Amino acid sequence: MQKSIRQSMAWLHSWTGLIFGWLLFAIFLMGSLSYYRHDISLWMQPSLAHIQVNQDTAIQTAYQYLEQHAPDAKTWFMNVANEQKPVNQIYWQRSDGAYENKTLNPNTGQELNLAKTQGGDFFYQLHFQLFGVPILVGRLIVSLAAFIMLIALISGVITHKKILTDFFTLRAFKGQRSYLDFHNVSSVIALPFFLTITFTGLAIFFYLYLPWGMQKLYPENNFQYFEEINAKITPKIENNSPAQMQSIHNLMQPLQREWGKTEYSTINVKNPNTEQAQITFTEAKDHSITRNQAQITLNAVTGEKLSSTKNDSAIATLNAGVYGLHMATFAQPLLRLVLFFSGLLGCVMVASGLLLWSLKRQLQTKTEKSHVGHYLVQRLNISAIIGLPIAVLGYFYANRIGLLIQSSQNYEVMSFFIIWLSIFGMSLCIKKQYLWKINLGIFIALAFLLPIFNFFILLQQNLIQGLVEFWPFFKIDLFMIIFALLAIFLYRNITPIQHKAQSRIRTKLKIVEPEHKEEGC
Amino acid sequence: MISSTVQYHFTVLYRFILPFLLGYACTALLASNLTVLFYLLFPKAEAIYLAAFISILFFVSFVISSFCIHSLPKLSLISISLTTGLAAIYWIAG
Repeated sequence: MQKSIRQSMAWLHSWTGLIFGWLLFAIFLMGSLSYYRHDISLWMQPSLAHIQVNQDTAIQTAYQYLEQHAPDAKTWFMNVANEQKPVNQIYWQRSDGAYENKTLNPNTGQELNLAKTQGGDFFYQLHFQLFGVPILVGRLIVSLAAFIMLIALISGVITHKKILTDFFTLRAFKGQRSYLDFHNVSSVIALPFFLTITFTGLAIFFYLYLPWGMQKLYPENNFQYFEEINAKITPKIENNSPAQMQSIHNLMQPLQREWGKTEYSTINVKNPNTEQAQITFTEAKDHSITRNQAQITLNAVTGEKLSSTKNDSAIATLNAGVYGLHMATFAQPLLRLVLFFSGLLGCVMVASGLLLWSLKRQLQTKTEKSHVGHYLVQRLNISAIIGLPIAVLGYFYANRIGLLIQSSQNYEVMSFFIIWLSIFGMSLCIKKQYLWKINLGIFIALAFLLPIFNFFILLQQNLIQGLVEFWPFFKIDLFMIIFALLAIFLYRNITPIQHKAQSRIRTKLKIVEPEHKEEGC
Repeated sequence: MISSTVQYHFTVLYRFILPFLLGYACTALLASNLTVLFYLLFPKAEAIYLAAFISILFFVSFVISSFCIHSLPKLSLISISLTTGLAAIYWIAG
């Protein structure tokens, strides 16, 4: 095996990185997009953008709906509408244990039959449970990839002899060294982010790959764990008789006295319409990493304030902190933007690592004959690095085309995968020197055209009347324009890297050939 | 020539399987043992979470350090001894 620890780590780093590189690239890209999943969902459901939310009305209508439709439920849960998500989302557990959910108009309380788009949630789910495989299998694969990522990160740090010198070295567009420098710089800039996000992701899913503790201590119901890590244990209620709960207006009086005018995030009712009915209001404002939003719990029958049921032990806080750090619910716009770009730096790190691996193997080859493995790796690289962003753009286009043709079916997810597969198929047929240019060209054209296409579709469908109403949608389009400009920069500069690498390979082959001839003699 | 290539591939495969599979077995045993231990000090949910948290760190350290040991027999001996030790504790602790 390798002689020194550093060599062993370099070997481990490059091989683990290659095996899971493409998957990790997709996970990072989808994770970055998930930071804006509510904005993406709103972009994809333009009819919702006009709804003006008044939270008092929203709470009133949701509460009334549940009183009418689920009076005997075990629990009610309301995600109160807000500016980012202007609909009420309600869930309840029926007396037989089954769950139901509805999306309501926050002003009228009427059920909404929204367009069948998955919106930003598609990227979010693809990020942590993949697609087309059972949820459990998908989550386990993502957990394995996260382990590999963590190992690759640590081994990558050990591999570096001069981490500080490397950080300040960027030989842009100068062949093989450029990929290495991009890899080093992108890795070091956001290293704390990568370590945190990978470890927290792993810790969130521990119950899937280390379920034995839960099985041992909760043999009857493993999922009781989640209840107890989040809330203090409360004695089981016996002989709970029906009782009339107070109106939501009355229940909100003490909140307004304590919090003043504020925004609410969720409302949770346990044992509604019984003597033991408890209602918990959670404030939307949250600047804590540990998801420590202010909460008030009341007896829903008497209106009496109850002590907090939140589990605030040190380990429960650690658990909440791990979850909070990964989900970044605390992140305000600027920090969210930083986290988004840190995620994209993760994509740059993985992409430059994959390209470096491929180029290094080409430089090590001693013949000009094409190698199937290298050929495939190059095509897979391009399909992941450029093909996936093109598929994301295709997903947005499919949404707007669906609006245009008023289709009852939703083809967004199908379009995403067909486009991705087509890019891979096309890349298999294209010569190496045109791979980047053609794929980048497609990306640039689609990214620049999206805002124009979006504007005309929205105007044509009477979803906007002018430029002012277009602004909420243009926020997403603006990102597309920025990425198109970045792609143009790459389009113009990718050729020097390829040329320098090609000339190195040719020079090397020329040196090797006479040696072979001499050996033959 | 061919036999040395095959031997090299087997060595690589063995070096990957040992840290990842045996490391996982060790991690699972450690998580179970720590859960039992921490349950003496903390409530159930906290014991489970803390045990899993430490076990994840253990798995990563196990894999990294496995690649730092050059001798395969030495690596095998250490890994198997560790697994056996943890399995014995698991068996005793129930």
